[in-house]
Parts: sequence; structure tokens; C-alpha cells
Amino acid sequence: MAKGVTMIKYIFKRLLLLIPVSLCTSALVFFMMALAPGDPVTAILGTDKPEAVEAKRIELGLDKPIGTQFVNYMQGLLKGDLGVSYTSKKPVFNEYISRFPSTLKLTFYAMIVVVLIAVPIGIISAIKQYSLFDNIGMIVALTGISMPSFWLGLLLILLFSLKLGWLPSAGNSAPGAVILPAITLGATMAANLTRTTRSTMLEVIRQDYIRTARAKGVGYRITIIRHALKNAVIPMITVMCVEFASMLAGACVVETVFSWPGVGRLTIDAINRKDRPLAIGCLIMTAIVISLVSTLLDILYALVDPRIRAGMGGKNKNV
Amino acid sequence: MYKSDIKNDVHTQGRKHFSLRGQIWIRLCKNKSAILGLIIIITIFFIAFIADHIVNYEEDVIQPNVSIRLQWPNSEHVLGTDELGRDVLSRIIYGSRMSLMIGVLAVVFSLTTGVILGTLAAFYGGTIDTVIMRICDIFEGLPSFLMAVVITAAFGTNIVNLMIAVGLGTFSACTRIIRGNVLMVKDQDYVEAGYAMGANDFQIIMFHIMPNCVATIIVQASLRVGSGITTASALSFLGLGVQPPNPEWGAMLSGGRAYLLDSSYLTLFPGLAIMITILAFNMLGDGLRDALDPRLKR
Repeated sequence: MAKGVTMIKYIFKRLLLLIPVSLCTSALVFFMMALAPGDPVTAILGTDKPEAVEAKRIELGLDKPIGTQFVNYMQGLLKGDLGVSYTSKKPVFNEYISRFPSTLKLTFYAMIVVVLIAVPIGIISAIKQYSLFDNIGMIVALTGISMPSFWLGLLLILLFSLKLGWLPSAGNSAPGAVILPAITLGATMAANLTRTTRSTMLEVIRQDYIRTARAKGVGYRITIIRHALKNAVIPMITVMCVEFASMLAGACVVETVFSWPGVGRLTIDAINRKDRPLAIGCLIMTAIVISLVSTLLDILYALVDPRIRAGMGGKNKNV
Repeated sequence: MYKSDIKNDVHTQGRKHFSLRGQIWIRLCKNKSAILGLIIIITIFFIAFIADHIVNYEEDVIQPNVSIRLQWPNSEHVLGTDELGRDVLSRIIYGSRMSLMIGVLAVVFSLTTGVILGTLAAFYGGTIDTVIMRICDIFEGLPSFLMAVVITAAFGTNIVNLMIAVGLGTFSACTRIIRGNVLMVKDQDYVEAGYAMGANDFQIIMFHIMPNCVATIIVQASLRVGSGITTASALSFLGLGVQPPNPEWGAMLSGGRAYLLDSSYLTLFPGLAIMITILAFNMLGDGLRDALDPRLKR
């Protein structure tokens, strides 16, 4: 009973914490982008019509002090109103929401790539430590971490689209179009997770309970899968959660390389075109999505892992 | 005394004693990949340092020469020429300056900030700790790369801003790591002893706590230079970093993209340069981590 109450309290606390964090990040993004050089209104209308510029400024609310602008903006945000894009003249919120499923699809497939590559290689490397497989696997993983994603993307396009003609190089409409971007986006994270999986498994298979399982006659394979992997999963999930945020950031680069119509490319295009409301809107929405997802994952953890649940009474959040 | 102790004593008597630093150096030297990384890094720094003497900046790096554009690697232009007829090798050599400068300065910036804030937070605790950690939370609301995008978009694209952007993107992570380290160190007996001998806070931090954080700082530095270079080149690739005609590896890659099918070397070589540099920093960083803390090595 008491445990259930603590759990609900914990979930409530985490969800409440979302508000100040999102608010502060939004403020940071808003004020920084407002500092950006160049006047957005003259960028749309040109400098030759000062009266029209002034009128537009009042229409957009840019004549008010920056603090008021921010308050108005945040009030709009709560209603799903993030202003109108300067270039497309459409509401920013709708633009973002219409592009979001595309990015979600890309990250989902990238996650599949990550798990399919990283988990088996990490486990085999750990149980056959210092073998040829392990050495090659670790060299590949280190190379993967060091490879910039835009370069990998271009190399994949060169080989599989331009030379071999197997897969499309751009867009998301053709069948199989997601394969190359997903590999590109997942590569760095797969390399990271392979290393984490290996080191966690190495730690786990030296624990006493593994020796106990072997001693009582459990087969090697079953020990690895049922006893070792189960205990190694939590650190692996932690890495994946941390990396999810950087995946959304990496999507900016990958979507640009593959002309993938997602929110990452929308953000970069908006910044390059100096479309301030669209850029601010995209960045703030991304920040909110990231904090929402990481909070949900944290709560999920607490539900899954009894060790975290037990330590929940602790107040030190700063670590 | 146990038998094994005696044996150990006999064992160590015959062996030369090394200082802690000497032991770390020996462990590092035994790690082949770390040494390879170190050699590559020294070579790249050397090339960047003497770039002016081997390459003519105006003629080879900046000046367009359309009559020899898009030439595949040949005896005269070992890595070919780009879309404006500039020598790719010269541009990569000069680009090493740009990338190393941004990578190293960004790390210096983020680590300096991280060390100061992290130490203050851990040492004084209380309100200072909470305020500093909440600032870190705010900066971590966006992934470091997007934070760098915001900063370059806000303050405009030049090398100083790029460096600040890359540094500000990662300072919060540095602060957290240093804070953790200082928290571990500050309750040790030798800190207590320092106070007993009449040292003030500044002396304690500088002479008792900092020396015990150096290992962490060195490892972080070498690992973060690599990721700093990646971030900077990714920003340049997206058009938010170093602007043409300056030779930066990411910007060169971005320029070569349009000629991917017919002149793939334009994409291949700058990317290779980025990868080798980052790989070298990662190999050295991994090696340093193992050498400085052998318990972590598995």
C-alpha cells in the first residue's frame, strides 16, 4: 500500500518537474533566438517600405518588450499556437505536427538497427573476450563512434543509390527509402551501445549468481540469456534513453543529407532561411518532446527495476 | 606476516620503483592503440602548425582556378581539385588548423567552465549547488548539438561563435562529471588534514582537490576534443559553421555533395580526415582512461 503511494508520488513529482524545465529551456531558446542578428520583418518585406515594416511589426507583436513577447508566446504555446511561419505562411504548430510522424518513423527504424546490431555483437564480444570476433567488433565500434554521420550517409548514398542503384537516395515515399537514413542515424548509437553491452555483460558474467547458476547445472546458453542478459538490460536501456535525445539532434543532419521530410530538416531549413517563428517553434517543441520522453522513460524504469524503486525515497536528484 | 606478503615484499624489492606518473605512462605505452592515437594527433598538430610553410594559402586554398576544376587525383594534385579548381590536399591541410582550433578551444572553454562550476557546486553545496545544477538542467533541455545550432543561429557564424557554441553545448556534462569527482574527493582524510594545518578554501581546492581531479579532466579533454570536432564539422556541413571559402572539413564535404557521383573523392577525403582525427582522439582517450584508472579496464 505504502509502496503504491510512493510510486504515484514519484510519478506526480516527475511530471511536475517537467513544467519548470521545459519553461526554462523554452525561455533560453526564445531569448537567444530573439538576440539573433538581423530584423525578421525587414527580411520578409525589404527595407524600402518603412511604414509597411512598422505596420507588420505591430501586427506580429514585435513592437512590445521582449518579456511581454515571451509571455504571449508561452500563452500561445499552451493553446497550441506558435505563430505563423514567415516563409510558408502556415501555423508553426501544424507544420511541426505534420512533419513529426516522419521523424518518429526514422528514429523507430534507427532504433531497430541499433538493437539488431549492438546487442548480439556486444554479447558475443563479452562472452568471447579478447577473441578475434571481439577485437574486430571493438575496432568497428570505435570506428563507428568516430565516423561523422553526414559522411557515412553520403558514402551509403554513393554506394547503394548511385553506384548500385538498389535504394533511393532521397525522400520517404519510395519503398525501402527508410533503410539508408535509419542505418546512418543508428550507426553512432549502435557503436556506443555495442561497447556498453560488452562492458556490462563482462561485469555481469563475473557475478556470484552467474557462478551459482552454472554450479547448480544450468546450461551455458541459458545462463547467459536468462541470468546475465536480464541483469545487463538496465544499463543498456539507460544508454538508449540518453541517446534518444541525441538521435533527435542527429536527425537534423541525417534528414538534411537524405532530404527526409522530418522535423530535423524543418528546423535547419528554418534557421537557414531566418524564419524566426518556425525556428523557435521547432526547437521548443523538440525540447518538450525530449523532456517528455525522458520523463516517461524514467517512470517506466522505476516501474520495471525494483532497485530503482527501492532507492526512490532519496532526494538527491543532482547526481 | 603471511607468506604471500613476504613473497610480495621480495618481489617488489628487486623491481624499480616508479612514481605514480611513471606508472601511468608505462600503462599508457603498453596500450598500442592509445600510442597510435597519440602519434596521429601529434602528426596532425604538426601539420596544422607548419601548414603555412607547405601550402600557399592564397594560391592553393582560396583562389579559384576554374580551368583545372574537378580533376581526379593525379600526380600534380594528389587528392584532386574541387569544384572551383582548388587543390583538395592543400585545403585539407589548412582545414586541420580550423578543426583542431575549434575542437581544442571549445574543450578548453567547456572544461574551464565545467571545472569552476563543478567545483563550486560540489565544494560549497547548498544553494550554490542547486543553482548551478538547475542551470545545467536548462542547458541540457536540448541535446548539445541542437544547443550549438541555437547559439550559432543566434550569434551568427564565425569561428569564435562556433567555438563558444560547441563549448556551451557540452559544459553542463563537464560540470556534472567534475562535480561528482570533487564530491568523492572532498571528504577524504587528506582534505581534513589540510584544514587542520590551517589551509583556507582556496588552498584546499587548488592543492588538495584539483590534483585528484586531473585524471578525470585529462580523459574528458581527450574524448571531448573528438566530439567537438564532429559537432563543429556537422554545423559547417549544415551551413551554420565555418563559411566558404574558408577550408573546413565539414564545409568541404558539404561543397562536394553536389558532385557525389562523378567526383566522389571530394566527399571521401575530407570525411576521411575528420574520421582519422576523431578516431585518434578517441583511441588516446580510451587508453588514458584505462591507464589512469586500471580498475575500469576490463
